[in-house]
Amino acid sequence: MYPWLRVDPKLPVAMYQQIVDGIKESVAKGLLRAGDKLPSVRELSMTLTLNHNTVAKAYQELERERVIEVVRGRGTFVGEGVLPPDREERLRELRGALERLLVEAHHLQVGEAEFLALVHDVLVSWRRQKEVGP
Amino acid sequence: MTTAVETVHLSKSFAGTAALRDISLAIPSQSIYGVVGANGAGKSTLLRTVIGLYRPDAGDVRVFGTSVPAEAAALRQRIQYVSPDSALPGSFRVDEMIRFTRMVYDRFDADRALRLLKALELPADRRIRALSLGMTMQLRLLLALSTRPELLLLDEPTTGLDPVVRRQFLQLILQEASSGHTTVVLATHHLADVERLVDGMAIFYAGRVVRQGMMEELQRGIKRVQALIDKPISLSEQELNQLPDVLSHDQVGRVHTFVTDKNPEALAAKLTAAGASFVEVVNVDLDELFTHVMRKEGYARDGILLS
Repeated sequence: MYPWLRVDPKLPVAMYQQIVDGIKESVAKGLLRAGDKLPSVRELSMTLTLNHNTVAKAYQELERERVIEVVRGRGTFVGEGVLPPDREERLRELRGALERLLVEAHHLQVGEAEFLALVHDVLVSWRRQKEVGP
Repeated sequence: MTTAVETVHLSKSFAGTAALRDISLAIPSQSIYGVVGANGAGKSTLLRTVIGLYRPDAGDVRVFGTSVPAEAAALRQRIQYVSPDSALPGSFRVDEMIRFTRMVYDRFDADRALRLLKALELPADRRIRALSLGMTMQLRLLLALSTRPELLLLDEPTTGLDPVVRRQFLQLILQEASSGHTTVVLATHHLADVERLVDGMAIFYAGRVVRQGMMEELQRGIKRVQALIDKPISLSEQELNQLPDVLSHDQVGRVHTFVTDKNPEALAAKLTAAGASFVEVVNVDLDELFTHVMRKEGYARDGILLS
């Protein structure tokens, strides 16, 4: 069950954040689709042998980011693509991340055209991965 | 948040040797709480004092707000202690032991015992002395969980368990803790058991508590600051080695790593101002936290090379 979700306490990223990142990645890759049911906090805590409160904190964060939706009495589901409330702020962070990649590109002597080609390449293989998905 | 277990200036000695020195601890109700420390740090003595097997020499220990030494018999209906050292009668069969425990505990849940017996695949008709070490531990947990305890004290509970059974064991403990009726105290020197499971913990060393708190507080308290120093900066090598509040400083190539338990941001700012690049503050894992806390106490063992 949920082999795509791994939590390693040795990583410098907090354990609840690893769950958040793992589920967000699965949604982005199409392994999880809108409306799919997710395990309950208790089930996931057992599967990952992880403290109940760590999993609950991850679900709260995912709900805040509108990645998942909790329906009282029915369970937890992958959200229907509602935009998160802090979209503007996170877009700025995304921009910052791209700038950091440009710094790295400069030091690898990757020019503008080559950088764009690289981005295109990654996009194509990402799309292919999604198509052959589950 | 209510407190399940509270010790106030608790001390206990055996034949003049102090096993617990002035321990003041508060374990929140319905949490999973780790008690970690090296061998002989006082973990088992603490648990045995909490269940009333030992009387404190000084100070007090309270469970659910009641002083243990005064009310041990009544409290013991609500507390369970699981340890690889606790004696079981070897001539009893597993089912006889379950029946015996049922007579002793008012709230014994026979259905639960039966379900656990099946899930753990224990042979009901085998004598206890013929059980393996791991099976005996499983029987102890079965008996403890079947009394529906409000406080479950586990002393090195995964001793002798294979990885499959160990996982099942940890799942049972997690389930019990998430039920909202039970507080679990887990004493162990296996940090890997603690890391994934606990809400908070206390680190013991030589009978004292050297650090305690909820996991987030503990991890906030100690950080690693990494920096790339690839050109001369305004701090000399000697100054780098003598930065204040740094527990350790290591260097691999041009990457310097500092571990600090005071104000990591100030240290990061200082390094950045001096000209270091890619300065980053990151969490340390539990192994590292434990090592540094212990080293501060003077507990360190270096590796030796056997010739």
